Amino acid sequence: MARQLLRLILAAGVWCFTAPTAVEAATQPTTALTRAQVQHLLRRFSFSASPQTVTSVLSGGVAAWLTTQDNWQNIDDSGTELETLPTALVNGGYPDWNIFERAVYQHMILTQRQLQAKMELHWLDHFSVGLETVNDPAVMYHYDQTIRANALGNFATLLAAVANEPAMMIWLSNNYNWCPVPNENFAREAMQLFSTGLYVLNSDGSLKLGANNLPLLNYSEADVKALAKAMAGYYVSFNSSDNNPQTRFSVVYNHQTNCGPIKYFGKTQTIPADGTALTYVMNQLADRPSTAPFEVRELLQRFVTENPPAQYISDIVAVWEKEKKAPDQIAQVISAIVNHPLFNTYYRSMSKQPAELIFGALRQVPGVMQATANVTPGNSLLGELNGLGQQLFYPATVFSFYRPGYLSQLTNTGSILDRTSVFANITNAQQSGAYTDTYIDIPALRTLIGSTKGSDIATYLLDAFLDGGSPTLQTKLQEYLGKTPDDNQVLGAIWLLLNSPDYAVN
Amino acid sequence: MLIKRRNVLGSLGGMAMLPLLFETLHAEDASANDTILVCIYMQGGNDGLNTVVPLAQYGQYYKLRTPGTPPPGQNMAYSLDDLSLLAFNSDYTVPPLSATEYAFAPSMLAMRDLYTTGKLAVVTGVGLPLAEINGLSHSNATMDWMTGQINIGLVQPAGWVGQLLDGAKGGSLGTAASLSGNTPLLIGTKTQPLVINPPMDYFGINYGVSDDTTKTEDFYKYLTTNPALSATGTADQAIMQTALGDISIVKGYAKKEKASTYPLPSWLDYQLRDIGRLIASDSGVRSYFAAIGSFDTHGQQELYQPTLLSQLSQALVNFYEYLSAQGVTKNVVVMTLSDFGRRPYANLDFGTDHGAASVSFVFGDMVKGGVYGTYPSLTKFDPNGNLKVNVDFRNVLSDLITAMGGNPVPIVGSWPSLGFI
Repeated sequence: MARQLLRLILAAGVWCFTAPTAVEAATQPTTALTRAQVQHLLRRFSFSASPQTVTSVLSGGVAAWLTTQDNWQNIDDSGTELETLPTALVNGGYPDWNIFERAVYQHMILTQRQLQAKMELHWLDHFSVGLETVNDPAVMYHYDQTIRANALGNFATLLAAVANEPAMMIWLSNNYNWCPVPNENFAREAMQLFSTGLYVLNSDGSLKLGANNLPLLNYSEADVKALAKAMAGYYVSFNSSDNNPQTRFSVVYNHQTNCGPIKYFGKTQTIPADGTALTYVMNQLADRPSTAPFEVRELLQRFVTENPPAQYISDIVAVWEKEKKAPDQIAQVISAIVNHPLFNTYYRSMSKQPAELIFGALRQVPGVMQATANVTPGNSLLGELNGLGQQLFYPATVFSFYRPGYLSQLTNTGSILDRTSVFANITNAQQSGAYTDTYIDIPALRTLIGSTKGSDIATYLLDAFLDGGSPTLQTKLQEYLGKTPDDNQVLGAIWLLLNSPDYAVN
Repeated sequence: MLIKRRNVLGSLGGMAMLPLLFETLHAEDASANDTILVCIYMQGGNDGLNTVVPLAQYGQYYKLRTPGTPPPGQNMAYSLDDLSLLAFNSDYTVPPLSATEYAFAPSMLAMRDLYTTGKLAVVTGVGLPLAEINGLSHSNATMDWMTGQINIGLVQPAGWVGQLLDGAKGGSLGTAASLSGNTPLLIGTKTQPLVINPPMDYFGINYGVSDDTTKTEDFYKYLTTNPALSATGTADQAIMQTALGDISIVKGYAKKEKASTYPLPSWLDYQLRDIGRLIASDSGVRSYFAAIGSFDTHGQQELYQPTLLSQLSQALVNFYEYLSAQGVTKNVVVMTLSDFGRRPYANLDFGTDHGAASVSFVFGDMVKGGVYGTYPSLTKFDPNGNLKVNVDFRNVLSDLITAMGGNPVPIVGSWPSLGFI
């Protein structure tokens, strides 16, 4: 199989800049965009970028980058799937779960539609689904494609699309939900996790308190049961002997006539009988007062800070509500988050998720996915993410990888040490006898740096991984590399920077 | 030189915001004895009704757990025949065939054997108070169990074990360790748990391909002390320092207590094997955390829950046998906790949705075997139609804190002893 170079370098040309002093530069209120601010943006809203891309965005401006990324349909996405999908998923009648999973990871690294890819990760976490339960890669592929296509679109549309996906129906049991004793799983989580949240929120994300000074609930247990009845009757018809990934599953709806009166949110509801019940209910949930602050708070928690201030939430909620009917509502909300005066004040303040740690390493310096007789390109990404505990499609809980607001608890002695092995794999695989298929491409990196001097290599690597790092670290790294480092020394330096506490911070 | 664990980790993050009052309240108490607590989290909300079946209410149980007209072999209600060898009474000496009060699920034969030893307490009707049950959120319920508090709307930052161990004397690895990666229960104002991803034999740093490992090792150590660019980076540095300091100790314990014959049929066994090795090594760790799941069985419950209950039961037996062989069972107590129970009735997907009361197990030499709490009625439910909680979860925690030599009142409030220890 042909060697596949990661498409990390935007067309922009020469790499040249002055080593930045990053912290001050990023947080200073200034009209002129700094390199550190661009690096901050690209860490949060893409899977990080090479020094060349940073230079390009710095030159073109954030607004232009956002516009380009919002119009993702215009960005060439060819060559970002290394296998023929979805055909390969069920090739020869043997569904291959690994192909699906690695295809998603490969795409997140390779695509230039980086904002969409980062939002895809967010929504995959938000609407987490387990592959083991869904039990078919073609169904999962369809789900992921739906998430991706709607990742920057309208939230109500996304919510309804997700609810109607066979993968979600299987994962949260709505494909076996019948009156008079419905399965409540999807009804509860559709509210608690996917739209309103458990508690009634003010528009600034704070809790609305009741007379007893306790938070008010967005729904009662009776609402859960009634909502489950409203959404009963769907069934995923599945033909595992059909090797066509597009036709092996379909959704069947049998309107339930034995549910009795369905009353939720204080009102008796008339549920459509034509198979649009899920969309009907999801539109209601998207329109609930707490949905905007709940979703906005979570967006800010995942992209900006785990403890977003009330004003930030409130400002973004106003945009969410104003653009509620817009087909690009989410894209506009993201732009508002980026352009908010507080965005840059959260420079280097959050822990990275494992996907960000790994994908970033392969994007900030040239990574490569290469097949050998024993390995398939990109397949080792499954093991690397698993090694750090984040397999997107094997969520540990219904919260997927972590509960928003608790990201920092994922950094512990175990994960710090596991990280060293993952980065050893990424910086090791080109060695003789290595087994990993995804790793740092030293020849390509040397070409980009255009110098064999240790000092130039140190400067480049520090810019790529640590926004320049500190002067003392620069000196130390130059000492480590010596005058003209060999490949192993360069890889050793990369391993060190990837394991540095500053690289782990977003 | 590396900074010692206690000096570094105590200053981390939001945990330091808790009043130091707690620490002073139980620092001395917590080190007053050498009880070791092993917490096993049954993630997802275990269905207590199909874990411990109330034989005295069997008729109603059968009705509740027979959804619609089930196809042959898919009825969620266990038959009396299936339960006969697993029956037990509050008096643990009564043999199964004479017992009439309860029965473990058919896959829990190992648990039934444990019960016979008189060292297993079955706490029935345990759960969260009604105010919290109104939400029936995995997240909230779990955090309640982890913190020993009702966290309506705002999650407390410290776990109840972490609070208990703040200031307590531990060994060189500290006072708390998680083998599952979950840490909320063990985090305190000062207590920061060691996290080991089993097996502990591989707890270490992989330095990659560098030609000069010594040089790379030195640089890695430098990275743990060179001022980080952010507070988050500084917090990570502290953890890196702790990890570096703990590696040789953990590996030393792994070599000393190889446990090569320990049966490892499940992931829980891997976790408990390492916990057993750390206990046998006299590591000084006072509390451990392990996990098994998922028990979130909304559908097709018969495919999942029996297997998990079998794994739990057998893992407890394996763990106890290992500790017995090492002669270290005397001061070890094992407890199980789970988000919440399930609905009394089965849904038409042969599963159970989120409910209220469930069961907890407490096991160990110092445990008085038997049944504690009142099994919920299967005809009179709480206002949401769930099994009534007759034992507040904090009551169970209170007894365990007391067994650890601590004062439960500042952590979980004042509760009468259930008497299982």
